[in-house]
Amino acid sequence: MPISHETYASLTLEDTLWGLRSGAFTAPELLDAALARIDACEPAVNAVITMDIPGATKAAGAWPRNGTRAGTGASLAGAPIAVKDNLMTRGLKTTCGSRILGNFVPPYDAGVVEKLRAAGAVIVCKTNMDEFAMGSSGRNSAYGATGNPWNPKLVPGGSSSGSAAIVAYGGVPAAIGTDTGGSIRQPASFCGLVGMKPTYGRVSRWGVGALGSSLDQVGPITRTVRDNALLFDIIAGHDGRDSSSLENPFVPTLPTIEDGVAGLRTAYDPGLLDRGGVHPAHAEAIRFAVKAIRGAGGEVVEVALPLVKYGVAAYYIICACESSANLARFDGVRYGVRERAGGGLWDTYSKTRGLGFGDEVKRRIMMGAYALSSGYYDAYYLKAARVRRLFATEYEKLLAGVDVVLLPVTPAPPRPLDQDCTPLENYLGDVFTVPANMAGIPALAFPVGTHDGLPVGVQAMAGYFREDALYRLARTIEKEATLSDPPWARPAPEAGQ
Amino acid sequence: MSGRKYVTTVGVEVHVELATRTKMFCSCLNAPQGVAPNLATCPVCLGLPGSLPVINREAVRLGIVAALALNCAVNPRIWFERKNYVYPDLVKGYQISQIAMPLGERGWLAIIGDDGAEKKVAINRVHLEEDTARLAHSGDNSLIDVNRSGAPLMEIVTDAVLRSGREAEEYVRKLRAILVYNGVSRCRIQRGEMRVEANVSIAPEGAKELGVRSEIKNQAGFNHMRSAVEYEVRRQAGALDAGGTLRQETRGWDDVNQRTFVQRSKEDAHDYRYFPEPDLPPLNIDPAWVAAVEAALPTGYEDYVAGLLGQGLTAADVDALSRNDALGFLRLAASAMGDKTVLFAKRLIKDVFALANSTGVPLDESRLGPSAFRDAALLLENGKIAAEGFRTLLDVLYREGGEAERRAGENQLFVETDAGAVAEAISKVFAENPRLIEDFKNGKIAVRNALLGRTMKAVGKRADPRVVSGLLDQALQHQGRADHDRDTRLPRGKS
Amino acid sequence: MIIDAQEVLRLSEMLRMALTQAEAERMAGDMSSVIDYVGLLNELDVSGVDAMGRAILDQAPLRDDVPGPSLGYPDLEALGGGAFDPATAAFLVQGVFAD
Repeated sequence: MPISHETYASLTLEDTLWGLRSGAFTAPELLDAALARIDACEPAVNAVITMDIPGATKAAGAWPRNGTRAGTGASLAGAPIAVKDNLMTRGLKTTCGSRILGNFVPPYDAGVVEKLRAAGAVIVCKTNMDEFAMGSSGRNSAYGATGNPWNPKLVPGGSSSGSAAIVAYGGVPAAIGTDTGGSIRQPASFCGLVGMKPTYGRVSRWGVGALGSSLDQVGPITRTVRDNALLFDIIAGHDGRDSSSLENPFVPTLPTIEDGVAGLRTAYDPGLLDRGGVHPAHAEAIRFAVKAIRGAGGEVVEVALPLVKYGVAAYYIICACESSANLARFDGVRYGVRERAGGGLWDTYSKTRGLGFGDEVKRRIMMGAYALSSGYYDAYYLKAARVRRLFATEYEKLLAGVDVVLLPVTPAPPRPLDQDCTPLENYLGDVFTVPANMAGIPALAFPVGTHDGLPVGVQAMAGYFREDALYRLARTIEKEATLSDPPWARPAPEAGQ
Repeated sequence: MSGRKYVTTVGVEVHVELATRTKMFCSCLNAPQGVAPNLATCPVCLGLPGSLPVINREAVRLGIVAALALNCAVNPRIWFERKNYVYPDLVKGYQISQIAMPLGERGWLAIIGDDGAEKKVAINRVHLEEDTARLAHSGDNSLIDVNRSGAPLMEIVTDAVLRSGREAEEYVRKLRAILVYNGVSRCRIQRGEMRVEANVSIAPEGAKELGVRSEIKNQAGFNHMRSAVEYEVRRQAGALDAGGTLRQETRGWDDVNQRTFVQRSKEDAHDYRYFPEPDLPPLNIDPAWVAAVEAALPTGYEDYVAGLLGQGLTAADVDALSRNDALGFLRLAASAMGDKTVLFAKRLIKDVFALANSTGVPLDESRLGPSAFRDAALLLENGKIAAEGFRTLLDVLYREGGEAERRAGENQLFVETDAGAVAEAISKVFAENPRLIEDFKNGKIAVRNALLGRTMKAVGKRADPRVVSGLLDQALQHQGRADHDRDTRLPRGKS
Repeated sequence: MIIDAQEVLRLSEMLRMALTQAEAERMAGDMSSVIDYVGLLNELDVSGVDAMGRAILDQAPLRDDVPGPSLGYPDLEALGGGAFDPATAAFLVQGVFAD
């Protein structure tokens, strides 16, 4: 039976799978609703870079009804999913949000995309993002800024701006993002969603346009904690094409998600909340979470996290160094947009890269090259790499004694789309998200309520491989939280509002 | 010229392409010559976004073999770095290489020094890296063939301890022989599988510090390298004698005019911005693996050569084997040093190198492998094929490859000594040549060889000449006796 | 300013990435303030810390030396941008000679 896009918009991933299996609607009907909802919301939000209607139609057509055809084990059969535009999609343009890849069509699928397709997902579109995942606003895209569906005059967060926004407006129930220093968790939080940055190595990086290779992870963005675990269980696992892929066996998280918090020890640093810089609503969100955990029989202890304030400085250096090398391949010689210049090949290189990259990308390439250059390496790169080891060691010690550490996701709520800040001000917004990337541990952002009409979230970090603990904790708190008037339950926002 | 005396100091950097099947970090074929342009490519070696490197175990093994053969210590924990520079043959804008912790360090290789004594050339490091794509120039354009991009390369660097162009040449020849012998690389210079750079400086005798050095890139052969080093020594001495100063620079070798020329001065030297490759965790080299590689190493190159001389091969034989890059081939063909080694060596020199000459295809580019050669030589040795059949078989194997036994069968080379057929042939030959028989009976023993030749011709090359010869002799004896007892029956040979 | 526009332009030349004078000046300011901020790390004692140490993912996997699939000419043409030239079966760029 056809389904209206307003009804569709608030369906969770589990709802859509249940509906497909029960025959309430078919995958093509679901896709029609998704396309209608996206059409209605895109003018105001701009969450999408490239639609894949032919590909999605074909994929949905494989599941005319009763999604789980006997024996296929295709657990996402027929569900519409959106994928960030830095995951390679075979035969489908992949821009990484950059002008320099404006014509790039990869000949292969990312490891995560392969897993989604194998699970029967219907990949509807490639989502907007800060160029090469550099940014936390969604404003650094060559394809236009993305608006926050809660209030299109505000930023949705970034760099997985489009993946968060499209889930928030109900275009798809779930999307894939990438997180190098908070790029899943921060937009998820700004959009009232659940976002997981898995243990480094848990999800394949094969086919993911790299920002900071030693920091990047792929993860799901959803509206519910259960949906997030469901999707995470599908994309996690070893991939021999990624040398940093963990070989130890992956244990699915969904089966234990309702186990509650009894037996989990949770820690937080009250000093961090009281010090200046954290918005009262974000500090209050942590206290709300602490109360909910205790109320559900969990133990909460207080700890000190003295290294947090050094995270951004060390993270920024490492990320800039790695990205300066990662982006050196974009020269227009074998693929990508070439800007031919009359003065010979080197002029063509310079013009191609000068015009092809946006300001923030050029800034980080320059900064990385500077920090690695002869005479500066020890003071910057090596120093930062050592500080990173301090982070890893601190969190290894801490997480030997507790299961979960709570932190705010961001110090402050989303800024207006038209408000400019200095690069440094932007980087400092990542202060609570970079520690997990530095330590390589999993971290989950999830909403606990609303304040002034905007969602407020908290972040939980756990030890290596302990995504299961994060989901149990978040699922427990989710039951106590209320999000009033979320955009997925509203009519489509009007453009120019 | 003031005639001041200078001490020459030369350090040599050699790059070799490793003899693996696939590339260093991806599973594309490592056969840049054997594949049409740009078809041995994938997202990794094309440098497409999202692609990631995975280390080839065999490349690491060959690196360990080389390190051990060059008396290096194998580091127990190594890692790779990114070496950053911009060039259209470098697809990622960086080369995955090693700087801080190379695979092997602190080795040596013995040569005969300029003073006639043995000299241990100190080897500073042996490390692994990846090759670049190949650039060809066509009019105003450059054409990029990515097939070579990511091919496994090994770099071997000496300390600055060589004293002349002759020593440098001797070192590189010996290094090449060792690498080829151990199967690390085929080192075909004309194909760029071995590339040599020399750092040359001179300083007044007695000076404590080295002079300003120039780096001479990619010489096309051993003698080129020697000429380039010797030219460079003369050029630097001339400049200093004339009161000039030298600049640190990279120079090329112009073989036509027999001189070096400036390619790049130090001022625009690259800043490679090395840092650890974040896509690859460190690589801990299990000591048990190194021990196993060491245990499987063949006899050392020098011991092997000494062994061959001890078995009675001449220095000229060994030289021929070495020049044809056949020492490693011989070692693989004859696993233990002994009679067979000598036999195989002689066959290689006599029959196989003749094929190399006649076909113009060197042994290591032929389809003939050591085991097929061994099997063919043994077929001959055991009388399964005749000498002529052996030569035919080698020719087939050389051009087409395959297993010796199967090829011998396909080409009907097996000796099939059908005694009945031989007996028939002998009767026929006797009947057709009564004069010869008469001569034989009259004591002209020499006609026997003529009869043998005619009999062989009658039975065809598939017959074993030794068997035919035996049967013929028996028949001739019968002929002698037949006058007495009229018994013309021929003995039955082996069936 | 820790880094000036001239040094920024020198870096951009090495990186083959054109910057206008105005961009270089703006970038010098941005970079200087970030470099200044990064000085915060000097408060931490990192002596004796092994930058290559790892708790997990401490061993690079090794791949068997077995050939796998490679791309074909249609894949290379489909990359977009027209850099792959079917006539020569090569990627074509303006000529480059020893620099």
